[in-house]
Amino acid sequence: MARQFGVIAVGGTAAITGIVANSVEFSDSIEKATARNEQGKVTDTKAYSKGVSISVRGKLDTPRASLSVSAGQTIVIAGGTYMIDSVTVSETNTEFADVSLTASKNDDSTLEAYS
Amino acid sequence: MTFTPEHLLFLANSPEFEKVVASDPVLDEIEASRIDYALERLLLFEAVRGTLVICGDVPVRPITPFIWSFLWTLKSPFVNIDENTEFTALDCAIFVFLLTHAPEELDYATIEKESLAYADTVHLLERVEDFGKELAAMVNTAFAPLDLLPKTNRTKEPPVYDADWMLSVCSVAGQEANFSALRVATELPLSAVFGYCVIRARKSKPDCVYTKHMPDWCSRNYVERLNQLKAEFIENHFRETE
Repeated sequence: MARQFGVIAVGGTAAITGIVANSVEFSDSIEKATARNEQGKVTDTKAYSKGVSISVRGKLDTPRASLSVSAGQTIVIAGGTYMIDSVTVSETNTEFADVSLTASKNDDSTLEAYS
Repeated sequence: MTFTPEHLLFLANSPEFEKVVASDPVLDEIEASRIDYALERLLLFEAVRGTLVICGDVPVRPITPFIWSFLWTLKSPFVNIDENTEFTALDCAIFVFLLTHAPEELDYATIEKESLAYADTVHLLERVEDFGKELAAMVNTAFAPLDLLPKTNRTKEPPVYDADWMLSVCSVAGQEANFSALRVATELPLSAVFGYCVIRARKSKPDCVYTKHMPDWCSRNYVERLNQLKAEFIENHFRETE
């Protein structure tokens, strides 16, 4: 996927940083309920919730000393807003950190950053 | 220009700005410049050739884990190079001697004398500075594959390259390359050994970023260019909407 620009809300809405993503991967999944007849066979299936997960790798555009990206913050990228589930790598001895994170969103839920 | 949170959110939600960032040739160029092709060639040659040539006419073997650990025991300045490190003729002579002689030919008691005698045969004493530079470059090349690993805060403790270290890296590289640890220690270039260690790390922790990281100067140029694009886009947008 082409380079993309996004933003991460760092520490609630107190600070914000840009991220240039070199890779954004999407995956979606549903949660479903089923109904069965008296023989135990599934007769009806209904999807009641849909979630989208993204996996992002990129470079932050703010020097590392001023921020700390972590799970529970939100990221706006590729036309959507997601809750960051995990930040797997943060390179701490370079001026502009490279990060790899996963984030997700279920349905049209309102996302509130961890505080 | 200072970017407000509103500016940044506007940019992140703008499909037009997404296109600008995705297709900017300057960002492409900066991304491409992080790869040092000359260094890559050296790594390739180290991996497949048994012999390198330094200072124009002196054939040497690549640094092996054994040579590196042995240098460490000799407290060679090549093991901890910084911008102020200076190399004496003896430092260079010992390093070259290790790179040109098999482990079974080495004797700690006589290594200084034998190294200086060998140095004379390759005219090292007349060009110590050149040897120092080329040997230091060999060290940099050997450690280059480790740049693929995610970076962390470095400790100020000097690294220890003892037998335990040597056996550890040789064991990992040997398993990955299907070589005996002994062969890895004495035959495999250190750059290749570190390459195999990176392969192992990728396998054991695949969610980390194992990539050629931008040097700091490159990152600065990258972010400066991005900020320039952001500022231009915001200015143009708000001029149009006024």
